[in-house]
Amino acid sequence: MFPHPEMRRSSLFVAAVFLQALGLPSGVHAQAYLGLDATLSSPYVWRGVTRANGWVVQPEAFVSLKAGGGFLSGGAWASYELGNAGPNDLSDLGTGNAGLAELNYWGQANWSLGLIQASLGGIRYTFRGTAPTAGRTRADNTTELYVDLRGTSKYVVPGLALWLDVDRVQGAYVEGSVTVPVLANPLAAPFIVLITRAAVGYTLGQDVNSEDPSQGAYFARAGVTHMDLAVSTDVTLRPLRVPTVLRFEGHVQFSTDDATRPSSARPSDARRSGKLWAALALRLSPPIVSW
Amino acid sequence: MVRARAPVALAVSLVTSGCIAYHELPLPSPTSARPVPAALPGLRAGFGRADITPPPGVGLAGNGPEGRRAAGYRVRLYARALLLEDRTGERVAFVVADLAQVTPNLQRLTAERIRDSTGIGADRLVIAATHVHSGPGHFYAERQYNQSTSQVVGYDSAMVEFLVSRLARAVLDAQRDLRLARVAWSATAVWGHTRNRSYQAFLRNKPEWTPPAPVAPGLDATHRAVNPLWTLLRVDQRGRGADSAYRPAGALSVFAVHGTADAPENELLDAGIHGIVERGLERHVDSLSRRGAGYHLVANGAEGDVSPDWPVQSRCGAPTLRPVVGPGGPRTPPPPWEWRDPAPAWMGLCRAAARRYVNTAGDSLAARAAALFDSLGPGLRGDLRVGVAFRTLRLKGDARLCPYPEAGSATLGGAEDGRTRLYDWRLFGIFPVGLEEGGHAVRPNPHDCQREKRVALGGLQRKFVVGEHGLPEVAQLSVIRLGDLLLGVVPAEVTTRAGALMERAIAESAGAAGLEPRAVTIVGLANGYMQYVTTDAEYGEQAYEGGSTLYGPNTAAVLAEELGKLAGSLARSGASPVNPVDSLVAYPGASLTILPRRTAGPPAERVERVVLSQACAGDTLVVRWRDLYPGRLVPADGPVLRIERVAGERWNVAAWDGDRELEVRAVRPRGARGYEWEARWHHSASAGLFRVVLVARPGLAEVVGDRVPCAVRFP
Repeated sequence: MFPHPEMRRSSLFVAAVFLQALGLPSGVHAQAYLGLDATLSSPYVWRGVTRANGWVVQPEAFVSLKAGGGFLSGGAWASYELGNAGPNDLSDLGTGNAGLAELNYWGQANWSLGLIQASLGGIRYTFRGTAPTAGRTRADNTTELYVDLRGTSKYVVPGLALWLDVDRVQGAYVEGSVTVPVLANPLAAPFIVLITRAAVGYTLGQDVNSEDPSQGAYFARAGVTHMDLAVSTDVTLRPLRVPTVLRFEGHVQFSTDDATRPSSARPSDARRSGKLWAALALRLSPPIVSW
Repeated sequence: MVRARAPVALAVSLVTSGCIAYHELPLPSPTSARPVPAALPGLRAGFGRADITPPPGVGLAGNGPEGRRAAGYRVRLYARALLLEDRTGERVAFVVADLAQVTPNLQRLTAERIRDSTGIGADRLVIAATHVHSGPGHFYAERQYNQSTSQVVGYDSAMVEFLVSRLARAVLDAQRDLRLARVAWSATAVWGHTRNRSYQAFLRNKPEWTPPAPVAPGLDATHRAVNPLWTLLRVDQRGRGADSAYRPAGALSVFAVHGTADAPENELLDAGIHGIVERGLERHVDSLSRRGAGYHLVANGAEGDVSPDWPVQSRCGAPTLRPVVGPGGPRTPPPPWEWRDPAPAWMGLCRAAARRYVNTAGDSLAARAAALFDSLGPGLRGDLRVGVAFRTLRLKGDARLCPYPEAGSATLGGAEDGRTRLYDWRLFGIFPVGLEEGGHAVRPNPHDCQREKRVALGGLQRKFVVGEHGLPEVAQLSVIRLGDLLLGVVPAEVTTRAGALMERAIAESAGAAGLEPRAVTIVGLANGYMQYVTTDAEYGEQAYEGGSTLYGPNTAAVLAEELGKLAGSLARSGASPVNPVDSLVAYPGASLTILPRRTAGPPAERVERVVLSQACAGDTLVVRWRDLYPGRLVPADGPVLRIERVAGERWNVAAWDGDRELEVRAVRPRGARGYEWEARWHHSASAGLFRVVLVARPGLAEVVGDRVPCAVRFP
């Protein structure tokens, strides 16, 4: 049932035009937002683990309500694997399959507390794979709660996120990060900012439980899972009425956990200590209701 | 690899093909008519004035990336003109405009408009800027300045026409006002209002600074490191018809001080300290002459490193790049980082502190100017001799200067008066990249014409940012004789010591040719703009001014030499030498629509002008009303509103728009019904019943608001 690529492109175009039409004048103080974004990524890497080494598109829709100095948001996110996975490929759907691999539902509150920004929320992961020995199936569905804190200093922005699985995996994953802006143009549109980020993943129970091997796990052993160095550039397209951002990011990952090492299903790629990946995202978040 | 190169190639092609477009505009070269003695022998003088306050929506030029879009206006901007003609028919016209800079295109186009009526061409027309940093931009002859003098980017030929038509009107009004006149000039030291903002660079000069006047006691070193002389030419005019008495009419002042008293975060068109000083003396002249309007032109001097003595709490701090909280969730691409202003409450406090300083410093300086004006009464004479020497210096290609203009990295961080968001920016927060004054802005191994200057972006600046004609390539220079006062007119912001160097060159050349001036004064920011000029020694420090000395360390010496030559030719001629006016070309970039047009919104007959609300909050009367869109409503066209206070049965005018305590803002469009405007008037000195009157304008009847009680709130 995967839609034809041409249909998908035209749908995105129609959606973009629709959101443009919805955009309120910039002077209006908006309170509710409709968000639409899509990320094109290859490979698809999640917490250092290569989930699919082909092209993946990840659309998302959400609604946000501005409340006080923060936002209450809820939305759905999906991951589509665009190409049929071969026997040497990593895929959530398994060999020979393409299409919807993952669907997430989430709710979040985020707000600013002076020099700290905080996010608190929950996310439900559901999977569409049908191959029980390769990829992820309904049996892997699970739920996590999370808290994400980051500073807002001038140069170095530290961040700390804790993800606690309360369903199938029953463990926590911690990610510490440091974000440093490199440059941003001060004047003319389009506004461009170049940012670097270093992140380290750490598992506290999301690794294999030797006492209960049937419990879900994402990593092979406890401890540091990987280190990710990223460069991203955001281009804010001001001529459009709707706030629109084009984001490109490139990653270099150093893997320390056996689950984060493979870059494909080939045996020769199973013990990689590093990998590269990139993603391109388009984000639109127009205000739709104001009062 | 092909894919990796593609975006780079695209970026390069965009820069080279799209951004650096010159749009070459040849400028006229009007030459003055030969002097013809007037029928009435004696000195004649005339004054004129034109409002140049544009509608809100334009960028406020002068603070680079921190220059805001104008939300409204406070003290109106004017161009004031003084035309002098001596008994031999020698003429010169001075115009001082409440602008950040004046450009060759404004000067040449204005000269063309007035040439036939006044006989004054580009060689006898001096248009100087007060250097206020809250006037409009978008008129520059050089593309790079249209791209970088405010957050609102671009050139607009309509802005040029808006300004030129009014500059010309001011001169033509002065021509119509020409009458027999008596003048006197003097200079007095005004200490304590200014200080040297680049003191380390100033200290590099040898020999040490000898102030031109005794230093007032109690001043610290930075306050002593300035030229404190306020030079004022008083003009009294004979009355018209049977009124043969000579009465005070106006004055031309020259005083070195940056127009940076308003906070860089100011969002209103405003004449700043210079506006307060201009009006202060004009009111004084009115009170003396009882003939109506007085005139006060306040030109700037060698102010390159001279700041007003603004209090530290008047600077809000530049925006910083920060992550933002935005709509979305855990899997949403994060919102982009943004340049964020300091907290709104802080911004309000520092803007208010800056306004208080502007008013108090302006009042104090106006009082000094009035005292100087009064002291000149006994010495008024009608035998002033006028002379002008003028030339156009080609900077680019002059073997004494760097072959092309380049800005230093110190320029990007801004001066102490208004640091930009880039100031002291470090790569990864650790490695300095020269966005500072001195320090890493100084090249450790000076090796080419620009010597110590670390050129911003290196070779990329010229190739991809500025281009071939993006920065100024000529300097129009003049030496003007007003009796025994010589004015050296330069299109630049020269530092105190560079100004002294030029003044000395003028005095020595004139003296060698037999003309002994009593004083020489530099008039800066006139007839063009080539940024800053420091001395060779100051240049080595690479403070903001050195980084902004575009043609290298020898610039001050070259300008001094050229001004000396002009002074010599002026002295030898006995009047004015032959002054050729060379051809000039402007390269402003493509013209955009930035100045709101007269077609904006519905026409007057479809707009119901009405007062929407009136309320007093503390010491502020806030009025909102519906009116025409900015563009159809142009403040320069005339008064917009007045505040009236009841006294018994009568309503007396308490304030007009343009008053320093009255802020007018364009708030929001109301579709086909018009545009919502707001006026905020601080009435701390008075309480009572007030009302607003929207002044009748073409197609719009007068509207009177309801009466509003306002009380004084004491802290």
